[in-house]
Amino acid sequence: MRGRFKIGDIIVISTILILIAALILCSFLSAGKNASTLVLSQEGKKTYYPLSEDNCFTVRSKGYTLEIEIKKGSVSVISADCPDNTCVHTGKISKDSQIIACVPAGITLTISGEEADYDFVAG
Amino acid sequence: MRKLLLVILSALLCLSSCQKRPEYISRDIYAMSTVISVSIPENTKNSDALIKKAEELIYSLESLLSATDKKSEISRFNQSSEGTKLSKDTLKVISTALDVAKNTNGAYDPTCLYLTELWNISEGGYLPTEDELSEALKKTDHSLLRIDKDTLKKESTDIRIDLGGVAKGYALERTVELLKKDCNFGMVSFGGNVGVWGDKPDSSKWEIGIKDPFNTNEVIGFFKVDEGYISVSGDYERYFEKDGVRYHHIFDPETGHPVDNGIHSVAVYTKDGALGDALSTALFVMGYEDAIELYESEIYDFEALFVTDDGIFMTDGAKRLFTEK
Repeated sequence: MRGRFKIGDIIVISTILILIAALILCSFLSAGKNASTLVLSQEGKKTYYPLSEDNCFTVRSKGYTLEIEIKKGSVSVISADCPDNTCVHTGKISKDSQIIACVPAGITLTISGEEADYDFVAG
Repeated sequence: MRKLLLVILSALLCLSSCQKRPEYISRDIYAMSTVISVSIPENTKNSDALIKKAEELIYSLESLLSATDKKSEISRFNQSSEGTKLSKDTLKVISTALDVAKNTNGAYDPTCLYLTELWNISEGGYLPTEDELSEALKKTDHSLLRIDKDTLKKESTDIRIDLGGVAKGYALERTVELLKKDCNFGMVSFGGNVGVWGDKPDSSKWEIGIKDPFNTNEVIGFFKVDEGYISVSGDYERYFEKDGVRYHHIFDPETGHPVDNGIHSVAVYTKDGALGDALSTALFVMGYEDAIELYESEIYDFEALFVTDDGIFMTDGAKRLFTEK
């Protein structure tokens, strides 16, 4: 009987194959759906930028000017004339829910899309 | 053969059952000199009205506790010569602040407004002279404050308070308590402070990442908790540089200078938002050894993590809650 499949083995193998196919399909579908995006919020208005394209642009708000860079999937404020420069000091963000805030300018930059491996980040 | 197949099948079932993180309705609110992010389940009834209520609560607390709003209760107290009557909320925050100040020998001191104004980090920073610092330190002394029923009294006209190191934690807790009544689970962040509550749909614990002070795009690991508050004080975002030297915003009330003890970030986990906020500042100032002494004294119920020049250190309970990346 060695090396021969029993009916139970066939059921288990079939289930494994179906699950593998389902997992591949799910990950394929979610990869397209979760493409990361930068969400720029300014005075209640939201503007979206794909993280897949390198970009550099200027945002003016409440009398302040911020230079924002998207490079290799990460976002940073590379320069700002706000008083505390906390937005510049925050550095780069690239994962879901990470945030750069410029309180004086009333601007938040949030990453949306690719799921992070945590619920939220503190600090 | 069959055993092997069953193991593979179990692993696949586990993988396929891994749920995505829950979907939220999130709103950003600008208040208390930071961005507050409120996230509640997307199926919450009357979510707009609920978030509006949270927003109003935050603004009302800001109007009591702000040291920069000239009409706030705190500003009225600061302008008074002997002290003023205060609301329950303000007294509660001050009571926590004074308790932490007393039990940390002033490592956290709510009377540090002169120092905050002198260094002026929020407006780009100023490097004070030693004379200026010594003048500011003469007016920094929490022991000159006393709560008498509903009044906060001061023994010196010069004493002025800044609740920046505790007010956000208190407002965070009040916001979470409000939202809890109508939402099964959710999270709120006030800058470096995060509050979470309830059971997520997949019953997993909350995973709160702690920012790496040396590479803020990354986390050093996660606290896995059922509920509560995580407050972080760090030297890596609020600072200015002069002649190649970095001056951050956490001052030692004894020297008046930014703390320089090898600590770059302290994360505190508590069930009390205001306490966690004040403790994260206090432990940062105290340094690791004194902080552990406070922990072992069991005066407060908290866990803490320290990111230092020499590595990451944790309290015993934090070792059980924290997973390093």
